[in-house]
Amino acid sequence: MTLETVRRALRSPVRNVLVEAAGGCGKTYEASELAADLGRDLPEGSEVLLLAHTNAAVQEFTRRTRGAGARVRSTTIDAFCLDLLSPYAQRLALATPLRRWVGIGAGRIPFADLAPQAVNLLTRCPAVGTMLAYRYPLVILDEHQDASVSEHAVVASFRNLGLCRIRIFGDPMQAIYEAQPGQTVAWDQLMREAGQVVSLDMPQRWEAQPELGDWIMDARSELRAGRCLPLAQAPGCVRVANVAGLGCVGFGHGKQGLRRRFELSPDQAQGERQQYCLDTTIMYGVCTLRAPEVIS
Amino acid sequence: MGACSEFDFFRRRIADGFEIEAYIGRLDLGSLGTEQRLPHLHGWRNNAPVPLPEGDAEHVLRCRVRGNADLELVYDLPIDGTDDAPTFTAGLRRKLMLARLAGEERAARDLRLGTGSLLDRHLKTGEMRAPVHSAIANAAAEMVVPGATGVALDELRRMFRGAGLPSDLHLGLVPVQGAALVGMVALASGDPVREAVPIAYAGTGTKQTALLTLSAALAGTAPVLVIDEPERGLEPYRQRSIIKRITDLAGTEGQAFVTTHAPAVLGMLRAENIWRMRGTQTPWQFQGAAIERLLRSDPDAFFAVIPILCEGATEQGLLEEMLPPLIGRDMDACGIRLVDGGGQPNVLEIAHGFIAASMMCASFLDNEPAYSGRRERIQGQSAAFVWNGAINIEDATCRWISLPNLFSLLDTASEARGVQRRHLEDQVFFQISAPDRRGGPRELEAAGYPEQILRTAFNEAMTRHEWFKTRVAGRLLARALTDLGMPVEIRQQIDRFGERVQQLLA
Repeated sequence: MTLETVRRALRSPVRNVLVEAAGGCGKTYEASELAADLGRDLPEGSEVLLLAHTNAAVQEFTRRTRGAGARVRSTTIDAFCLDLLSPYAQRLALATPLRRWVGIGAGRIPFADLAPQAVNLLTRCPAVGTMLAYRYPLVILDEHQDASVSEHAVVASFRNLGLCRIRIFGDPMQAIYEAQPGQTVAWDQLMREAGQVVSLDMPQRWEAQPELGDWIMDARSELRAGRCLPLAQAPGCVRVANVAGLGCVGFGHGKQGLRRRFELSPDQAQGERQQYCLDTTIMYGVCTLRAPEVIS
Repeated sequence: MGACSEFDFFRRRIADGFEIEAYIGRLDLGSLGTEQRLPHLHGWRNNAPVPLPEGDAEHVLRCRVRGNADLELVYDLPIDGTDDAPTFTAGLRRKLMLARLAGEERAARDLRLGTGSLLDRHLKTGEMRAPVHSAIANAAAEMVVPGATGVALDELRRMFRGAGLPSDLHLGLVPVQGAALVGMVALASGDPVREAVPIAYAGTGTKQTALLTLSAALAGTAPVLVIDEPERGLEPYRQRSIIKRITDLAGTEGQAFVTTHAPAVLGMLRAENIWRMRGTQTPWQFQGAAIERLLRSDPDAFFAVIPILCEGATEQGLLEEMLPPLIGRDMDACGIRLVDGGGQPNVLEIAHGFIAASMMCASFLDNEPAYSGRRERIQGQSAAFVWNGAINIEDATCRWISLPNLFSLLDTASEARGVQRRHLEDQVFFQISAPDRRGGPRELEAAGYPEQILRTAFNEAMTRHEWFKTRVAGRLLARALTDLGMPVEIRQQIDRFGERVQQLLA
């Protein structure tokens, strides 16, 4: 799919556009550009809402949209829910001041509870959602494959009000969390809800080594089709590294899940422990392309 | 929403501060949603706040203004469970069209072209600066300096030259430090222009009406108006007119809060929209059709410390004469208002309405066979006079006054009704059944009737032909009874009522 098609779809009046964006294909760039473009002409007081999962991503979006003369609010979904809930905390029987009570530890309110509470508020008090719909005519959701059902429902509760447009960026192949029915939002559901589905599938990050970008796209297709990782066809710059202890880091899923997903051929499996590291490293490399061990 | 002064504090207790909370409904969510900081909503159901705008509760904004010991005003949107309330910004207040109709004390400022003044907002005077400066420069150039001043000015020029300073000195017109030249421009009226009088120096009523007119033109379609005594300085007809304009201005979507001490203003309002405030007590609301009628007929009653609801005009006149000596004071001096209640059912309904609104009241009632149950309830809850041993004042008079004095009342009734005494004698005579009559109507006194026949005939004539059915007639009757010697049975009963009223006043 050409970049032109994707950009047209993103800026179209279609209410809900889903962008399947493989790693290294310019997702962050396109999302930031979109926010900056559409955030310039918003009515007074309205903003583009850019929701990410990590503070690092928020900082990156903030850096990229700053100075564009656009009204963009980048924040994590947790922070967004916390802001929304704070003035209602006591009325929702939550500890106040909420900000001080949220966090890790005994007696505290886990971050994961914020989104369900926000959904509770927005469901009970539709007027609050209506205000959000007016404030955020455009909502951009980053890495939405990792959103929980509640996180998805927070936005769903106001996206149908007003003239709110939603742009969802995500990649089911990069899901940090194993798809768990009822907990993580299902990619199929996002596909069904979308008015238009487009994909960013032109590698952008490896212009100097186009053969790496091509192989990563191939590898992605193979994995997606349930086949083995085509390590044999990997360009010379791909090196398989064992990262000791990576298996212990825990990405939210166990070895069984990994094995099923990657289905490595027996000659590539060199003992279970090693295989795990190999899988994880490669998965990390292919999918997020951030692990320097893989790319020389 | 202006600055507050030490006079705005309750009994000037500055250290205590003050706090006023209000809930604003009929919100434009689109407008609120684009506020810099998203305001949080509360719910409103059955005329009371509820924590969340859920279900059938209306979404409302809870806002607050506090005056602190430093005489500062703090506007915020309070949040239960935390002191960290977001500011109720001036921008948001403007968005909600929370319009402060400029009060008289701001007239001098608002009728000038000061920054943000009412006049400034109307005339949008960005480009007025240059013409004002040029007009003032011209005026300064044309100013004729009297001879002695001219000589003194020459002396100043000489001194300046000597000191190496600029010596081309003139007298200019320069605004007072801190004030803009453009602020010297004010709305004035009169012809010729040289003799025009600033509106700010006009009478209170004109100023008040001018400010309302200017504010009204700036208000949106659903303004919230808070106006303190809009009636000040206005004739009753202009008071009614200003209230009508305020009501029109609020429209069906807006809301106006008006304080008043003017019956003419109150008479324009519906009972359900009136709250009576007294001291620090919770404001009382009035309800009911009889209250509504009273509002039209005698709005004064609602301002009284003790309204005394009289059975009718006779009793109103009667008490007007008899009560002041009993309480030892002028009735206005102690806030008593005698109200023509328009009959017992109406009096009972009004009394019920007043009692329900926790308002002190008294009533003066006939001892009719009907309504005894309702009457007893009212008697139990307020100071109520009910004739004992007689039905009403006419019955009491005819029952207890001496016979010669009963005949003297014919002259009183003649004065009250404006008819000749003999017409009244005819009326009495024809109340006697034919077989009992002796002689003619002129022989009533001399014919030797049994006393009871005469008393009954007088009572019937007095009642049927309404001898004393006006307030003036009631007063005349009271005076006559006093002059003729008040029957002890009447005196005692009314004395007791006077004591009750005094107790209430205490």
